[in-house]
Amino acid sequence: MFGKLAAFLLVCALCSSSPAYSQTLHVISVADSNDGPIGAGTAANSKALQSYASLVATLTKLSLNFTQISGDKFTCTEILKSVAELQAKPNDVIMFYYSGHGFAPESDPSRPGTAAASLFPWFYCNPAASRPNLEAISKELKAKGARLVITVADTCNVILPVTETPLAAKGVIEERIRAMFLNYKGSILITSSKREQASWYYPSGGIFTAKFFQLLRDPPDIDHSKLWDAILEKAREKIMVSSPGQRPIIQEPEIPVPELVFVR
Amino acid sequence: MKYTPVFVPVILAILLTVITLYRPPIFQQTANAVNGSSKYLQSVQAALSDAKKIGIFRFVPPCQKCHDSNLTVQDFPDLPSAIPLNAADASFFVTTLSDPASYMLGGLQKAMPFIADYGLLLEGAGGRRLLLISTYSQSVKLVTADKSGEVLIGNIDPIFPEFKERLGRISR
Repeated sequence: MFGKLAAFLLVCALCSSSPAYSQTLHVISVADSNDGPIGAGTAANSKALQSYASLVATLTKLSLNFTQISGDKFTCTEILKSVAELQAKPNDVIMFYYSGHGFAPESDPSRPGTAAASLFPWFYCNPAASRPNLEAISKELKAKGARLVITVADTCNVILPVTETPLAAKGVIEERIRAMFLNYKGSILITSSKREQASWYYPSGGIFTAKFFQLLRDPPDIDHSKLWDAILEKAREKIMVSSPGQRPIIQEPEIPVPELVFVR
Repeated sequence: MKYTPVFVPVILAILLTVITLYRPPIFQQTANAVNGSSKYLQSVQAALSDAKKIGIFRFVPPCQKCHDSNLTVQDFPDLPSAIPLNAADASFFVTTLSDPASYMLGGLQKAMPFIADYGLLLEGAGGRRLLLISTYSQSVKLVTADKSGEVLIGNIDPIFPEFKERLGRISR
């Protein structure tokens, strides 16, 4: 009897030591890949995200649920539908990543005549009447009840009238990535430029996205409880866009202090 | 296997060819980006040097459809009436928009819709062409009769304050 009980307890202990098996990493990747000027760059962003998500899933044992919205599927309807239909369990992680044109309306769509309430951009997709706002998407995803929600847009934030790096090191870096996705609860909201600033793309991807994934792939060597703070502090740094003129062109990401709790 | 020295130079030649022809993906991307920028610049320089008459017009309200791909001059049957530019203003636009130093080159583009509020109407032996101007995105888009669907956008951030000041003065 005692032997059976011990075996049962051992099995339970083994199950609880790898809790990630029943958890899911939901990723929604939105890329305006058919666009003329930045289509190739948004597709490259999406590829970088897919590669990173696969890495995180492998390291954390989270099962990956990857939703791709690109090409002809790039519509506001499809974006809103994928967010609305996403179902998450309490220990899941959600990552939403938008790569495409963005803007800020002259007045708030829900309160005409007053300035836009959100500091975060709206997505330039069609139909025009249902263009989503990044902050609203973040709130909707947070309401799903997942443990960690990361909402990112690599897009412009201007008021309008309407390299990937290989994972070189292993072991300790893998431990940090595991901690980033398994030991945090809360939400992170990021957009690649402040209001009235442009976000710049090369055909090889967004300048912000290249920098951001470099940080995510090689987290700093600090206490695990400070990992996201350190990554976001680096991600907030101004990006100097290479320009032939005298006037410096700056892109400064908008990243509020996240609502995060470290769980050991 | 019998050693045949004739293979050595052949293998070396193949290796040398492969090394010479191989370009890592990052260099290919940079090359494509530069080619994209060059295509825009070549097309704009050709359009400006061909223009015999240059007029300026303003979109009120700003042109939303100007963001679309596959635009040709036929898509603008009801353009606002264009005011002919005087020699000094025409020279300013021809000089600045033909100069590579006026642009963000290397394939850099903005993640912002192209909503035009001004335009230049170029008329020459090659027909009508439009240079749509967006003061919101600080960029210029060339529209021709070509239906190839290629989007030719140049970002004029390096000269934008001077450019906007000139636009404002002309449209006053």
